[in-house]
Formats: sequence, C-alpha cells, structure tokens
Amino acid sequence: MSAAQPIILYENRFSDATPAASTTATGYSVLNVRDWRPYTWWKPTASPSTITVNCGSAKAADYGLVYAEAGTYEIRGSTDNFGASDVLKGTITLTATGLGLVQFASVSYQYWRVKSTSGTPAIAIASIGAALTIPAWPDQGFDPLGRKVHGEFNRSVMGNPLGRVTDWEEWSDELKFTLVSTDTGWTWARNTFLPAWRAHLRDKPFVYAWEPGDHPTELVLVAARDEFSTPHQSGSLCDLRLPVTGVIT
Amino acid sequence: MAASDFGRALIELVEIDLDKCTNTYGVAPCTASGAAGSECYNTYKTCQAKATYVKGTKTYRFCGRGSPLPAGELVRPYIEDVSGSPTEIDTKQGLAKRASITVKLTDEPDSDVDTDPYISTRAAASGTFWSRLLARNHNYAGRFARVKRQLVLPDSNGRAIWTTSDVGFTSELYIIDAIKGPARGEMTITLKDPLKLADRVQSPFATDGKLASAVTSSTTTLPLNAGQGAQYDEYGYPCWVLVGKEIIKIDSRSTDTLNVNASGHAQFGSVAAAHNSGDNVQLCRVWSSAVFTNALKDLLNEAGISNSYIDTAQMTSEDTNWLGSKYYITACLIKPTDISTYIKELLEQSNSLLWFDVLTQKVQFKVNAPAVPGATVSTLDESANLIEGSVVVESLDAERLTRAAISYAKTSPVDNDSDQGNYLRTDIYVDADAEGANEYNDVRATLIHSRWFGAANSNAMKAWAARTVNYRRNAQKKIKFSLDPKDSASAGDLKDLSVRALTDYTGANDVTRCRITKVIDTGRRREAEAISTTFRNRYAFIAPNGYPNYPSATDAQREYAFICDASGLMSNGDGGYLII
Repeated sequence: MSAAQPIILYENRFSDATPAASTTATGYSVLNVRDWRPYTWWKPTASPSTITVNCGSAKAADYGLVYAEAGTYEIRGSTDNFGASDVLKGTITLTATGLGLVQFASVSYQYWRVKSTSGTPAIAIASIGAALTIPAWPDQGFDPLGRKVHGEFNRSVMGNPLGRVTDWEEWSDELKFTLVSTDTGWTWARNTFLPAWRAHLRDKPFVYAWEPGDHPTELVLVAARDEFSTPHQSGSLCDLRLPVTGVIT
Repeated sequence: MAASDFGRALIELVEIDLDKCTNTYGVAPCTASGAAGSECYNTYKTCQAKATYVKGTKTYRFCGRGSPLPAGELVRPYIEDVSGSPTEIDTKQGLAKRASITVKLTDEPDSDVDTDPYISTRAAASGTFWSRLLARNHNYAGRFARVKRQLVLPDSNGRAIWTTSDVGFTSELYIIDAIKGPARGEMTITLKDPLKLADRVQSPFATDGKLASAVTSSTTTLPLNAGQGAQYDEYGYPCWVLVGKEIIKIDSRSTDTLNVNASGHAQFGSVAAAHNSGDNVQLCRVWSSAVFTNALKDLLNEAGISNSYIDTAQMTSEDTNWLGSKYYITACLIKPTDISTYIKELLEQSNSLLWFDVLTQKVQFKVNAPAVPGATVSTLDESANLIEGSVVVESLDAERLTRAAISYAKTSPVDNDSDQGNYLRTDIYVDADAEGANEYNDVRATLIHSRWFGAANSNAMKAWAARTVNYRRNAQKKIKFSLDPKDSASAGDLKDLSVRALTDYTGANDVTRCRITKVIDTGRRREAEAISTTFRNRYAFIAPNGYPNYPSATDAQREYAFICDASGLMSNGDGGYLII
C-alpha cells in the first residue's frame, strides 16, 4: 500500500435503519453493534452469521469496520437483499479481539451486510460507511505508538521491587493538522468537519486511523475531549486541532 | 496465580443484583394486556399485573473506566472509584465495625437495549442508563452486590484477556445500602457488609397482644384480644412473655389464648402478680443452658443472616477450644433492642471477636487467644513484603488496664441494667505489679455488667477479668503497613511482623505477632492495620504427656506451655508461661 492521509470513521449504514441479524443469542441484541460501545455485544447462535441493513435507497460506503472477537468478517453489498446480487467488497481478519478495517472504492448499495463464516464470534461494533478523510498529514510530533500506563509500582522498605499492577493503558494526543485543506481554505473545516462534529464526533466515540495506507492496523477507538479548534492562517486557510483520548485494547 | 507475578493487570468488577420478573409480558402466567409499546420493564415498580409477578434476579456488571474489556460480555466500563472503610475488627469490644464501601460510577446515555426487554415496540428512550434503571427499580436496598478483583498476566501483545467467569477473581460480598445520583454525571452506590442487618433488626420482636380480661397471679391462661395470638409463635413453644413486671412461661397457644406452664409464673426472678384487662403481653427471647455460639448464631439468624453466611464450623471449633460449658447461657431478653447490641455484649464478655469476612462471605468468630499449636503464621518483613513508606507503629497507651471487674448474676431481667444493686456477683482481677510504683504507678480500671451470665458462669467470669487485664496491662501496638498483592492478608489473620520500629533491648528486630484488624484492598496494594497480640506472658495449652523438658524442646513443642521455676523463668532464662 502507499501512504494515505488520516481518516475518521463514524458514518454508519447500520444507523440508517434497524439492522437484522441471522440469529441472536439471548441478551445480545443486534442493536448493540451500532452504539460504538466496545462492551455491548451482538452474538449469533449459528454460523454463518450475518447482520444486514436495508437503507431504503442506495447509500454509499468506502469502508467496513468491526470491533469483534477473532474471526473473518466479510463486508458485502446488494441491490436485492442478497438474492442474485451479493458483492464482496472486502474482508477483515482478526486474530484477537479488537478493531479491524477494510477500505474499498466508494460504491452505493441499498443493502449492506457483515458476514462471518468462522464460528459464532461476537461483534461489539460494526460500521459500514463513508470515511471522513482529513485533507492533510499529521503535524510533526504526532505519536501513534506512545502510551501512558495507569497503575502502581510497589517497592519494599529495603528498596526491593515487589510488583507492578497495571490498571489500563491510555493513548491520547492532540491531533494537529497545519494548513488543513490548502486547496479549499476554510471550506473543508466549515462544510465537512463541522457537520461531522455536530452529527457524531462531539459526543460519540469514533475510530481514528492515522495512516490507513501503510499502517492499516493502527486504529484507535477514541472520544474527542471537550473541544476542537481551527486557528486561522493567512491566505484564508486554517489549522485543525482535535484533542482525543482512547484506550489501548 | 498472576498475583505472585511481577507485571500484572488489574481487573476490578462490581456486580449488583436487582430484581427482575421472570415472566414475559402478556404471556401466562402474566395477565397484563397492554398494547404494544406500553409493556412493563419486567420490574415490580413497572409491573401491570403484580399478582402474577415472579421475582428473579438480573445482574448488572461494571468495570473500570479504562479497563480491558472481556470479549463477548456486557460489562459497562463505568467505575471511576471504589473506596471506603472495610471491616475493622475491634479487639476491645469484639464486634467489628461494619464495612462501608462507596462505588462511584459514570452515568451516560445508553441505548436501553439490555435494560428494556420490549425495546423493539417502543420509540427510542430518553434519559441516561442510571436515571432509567432507578426509575424502574426502586427496591434495590438490601440486594446483594459483589466487588471482584483479579490480576491477570498480559499476553505477548500486552493484552489482558479475561472473562467474568474466571476462577481467579476474589469476590467480596455486600448488600446495597443506597444508590444516589445522578449528580454531575456520576452515581454513588453505598455497600455495607451483611452484619449491618444486625443494626436494623431488633430482638425480641415487639408484640402488641392485650389481655382480653383481667387475670389473677395464678392464672393458667392469658386470654388475648381476637386475632392477636399468632404473633407469639415466633420462637416456638414453650415461650416466655412479659406482662407488667412478671415473666410468664407459656406452653402452647389455643387460637388467641396463651396456656401458662404449670409452674410458669414468676420466671427469671420476677414476681407473680395479677394483671388488668388491656395490659400488654410482650414476647421474650430466652435461652436455657445454651452453648455460647449457638446463642450467637440464633441472634445472627434472627437478624436475617442465615447459617450459609456464617462459618459455623469455625464457631464450633473456637467454642470447643476456648469457651465450653463454662460459658453456657441462660438469659431472658424482654425489651426489643438492636441485635448488634446483644452481640457486642456477648463478645465483650467472652473476649471474642466477630466480623463479616467479605472474601469468604461468612461471619467469622474468634476468641482473642493465641494460635493453636501447629497453626502456620507467616512473617512479613521490610525486605520482601512491606511497601516503602507504609510502616507506622503506634502505642495504644490509652487502652492500658491494671484492673478489670465484671458484675453478673442479675436479680431479674425486669430490673434496671445499670443499677449495681441488681447484680448478685462481681469478680475482679487486679495486677498489683502494674499498679506499683516501679511500674506504671497508676490505676486503670474497667467495670462491666452482664445480663447474660449467672452464678453458674463464675469460673468464666473470673477468667474474663484475668484475661482482660493480662491482655491490656501493657500497651498494645497498632501497626499500619501496606503489602503488594503478591502477599495475602485478610482481617483476622495472625502475622509475625519484623520491622525496625519494633526492636528488643539490643536493637534487633523484635518479631511481633499481630492480628490483622483491617485491610483495604485497592487491587494495587493491600493497606493493612494490625494489633499486637501479646499477653503479659505467653500462654498456651499445657504440653501433652511425653514432651521433653523445656531446654530440649523444639520451637514447635514450645507452642505448648511448660512449667517454670519459682522465679517465673524457664531453666534457660526464658520467660515463663501464663495460666489464666
């Protein structure tokens, strides 16, 4: 793959209408897959398993994403509710519980589906939609790998190490993009980012991929902190600064 | 076991059990018949057919805000903090301070998928997770909650993999006392240990039966007003009742008439008397030559703590080893009083300790005495166990005693508890050496009254006075310290502590045996408090026949008592043992 600009993943075809599952274990409603919470799960009872949504009319998508148990997940589209039309758009393979992403050329279908043929793995988040591409590269200093351990290191009175207890690991950063959208000046910030902020990013988790081309597995489920800013730059341009925090899973 | 490894990830889980109807709305036996969208939420508060409600349990699970999540399981990462005061053993008064734990949790918008069983028929719910849950579940008080912890080893990718069914969890059992909030997006749940029930329930139950007609001082029946008889069945028959200032023994009940025992008047030192129509008849609580710990169990059961939450085997063992027939109880309680008051009296008057161990999920009972010979007591030291900056030693000088007295054999339960003249016996133990000019040169005295013990318990009362002074003649040490999770410590455990703050005459560490009275387990460390258990001299069971003389005995054999010489010392110069 070649390098690709950062993307934010939040738009979801499964929110266009009520999704339907092939089978559902008691207590594991399929509605859980669209709430962006990695702790509410849908679980099928039989394989192969599918989650399908009828968007009512053809709707575009260019990515599929799951937060799920280990398994293979296919992203499929259809014009006739998976009769004669059943098109595989991409496959996600997870070797452990976590996030997985596949991108494909934008295409519209009325019916979209996530399908698993590998047992009955549980899915916490499933999203098929149009990625929000940030038209700039991360500023110098962006740190995709750094993390902060929350916990305690214990040492004895005599100085001997006794043990470390880790509560969790945090990844947080201020996403900074200088001269974001140099082609269109303020237009991208005003017409693309701000609606996304209002629709989702302000109060719901989303997935950030800092370099989906060469590092497609470096995905983080994050939440915006309480603000973002777009400081003005001369020439009718602006920067974007978006502080986020997430958990290393 | 991951706790003994160096790098570990903490998983902290809080579970609360709330009621949930096991029926399905509108399906037999449920007789509700509302339209789609107007169903209940399977809780009693929202039930539309309460006569057919079937109480079940739904468990809600929460973990830390950033905690690793279990795959495929609903555990809400809402916990912001778990804190509070744990069970604290009281070596002076016996009844432990009840644990009170505060759990702070986030509130947030929630899809209601898990909490509304009929979500598919309704429009999207407004409100937040907790506001809706509490609106549908008013009756959460007294339901069980558990605080669970485990330390897991991260896998090769640094992931902490776990499930709620892992066997590695420790599980602390509490009851829900209160749920407050939401306030600024935060909920507070207060949890108490089940011994709290003993603070809320009284014994004997208040009864309100009235005499339907006047009776003489030798009446063979007590006629009650219509419909008032059944409340006297509480403790079975025979039972005892208080009418005026007379305690009367009842053999049986015939509808609303209580049948008096042939010699049932003027019981427990009270005086037979005639009684007027309308006089109240109060049920009494009586034990006759009861084993000490059986009376204790009766009180706990009455408070709502069943035997499945009591370590009955340990109780029996302690009773056999240290109490026995000298502590048999014959007593009559006439006034409804908090059960915890009675338990506290019994424990103080037997030099015993009682607490709820949230980990074993049972009430524990121990006589404040040395470990039995052969028991394993581990040592904690400053090299391998005690966390830097955590060791604090305090001398409990204010609790020192030089003499102790107990008044018992009360004239009658109807007489005033605090009037010294209502007790027929007093035993006292004085440590003249401790009061002498070369020692403390002061008098520190305590006097308690017992409504539980009579003349038949005189040996036990003498022993109580002696043991109390011998335990408290020298100031005990309170030691605070913290341990890494690799080292176990629970309230009630005996530990030998080797710390620089406790030395002998030469300055060498004086290994001190302590009983742990309190442990705050944060998951990251265990913050403990302990009290030294030293008596004036060491005391123990007398060594069995066939043991060698003291100088030749092993350390294990010296856990039994040997006879010293006239100077009070063993032949090698060691201090002698104490017979109390």
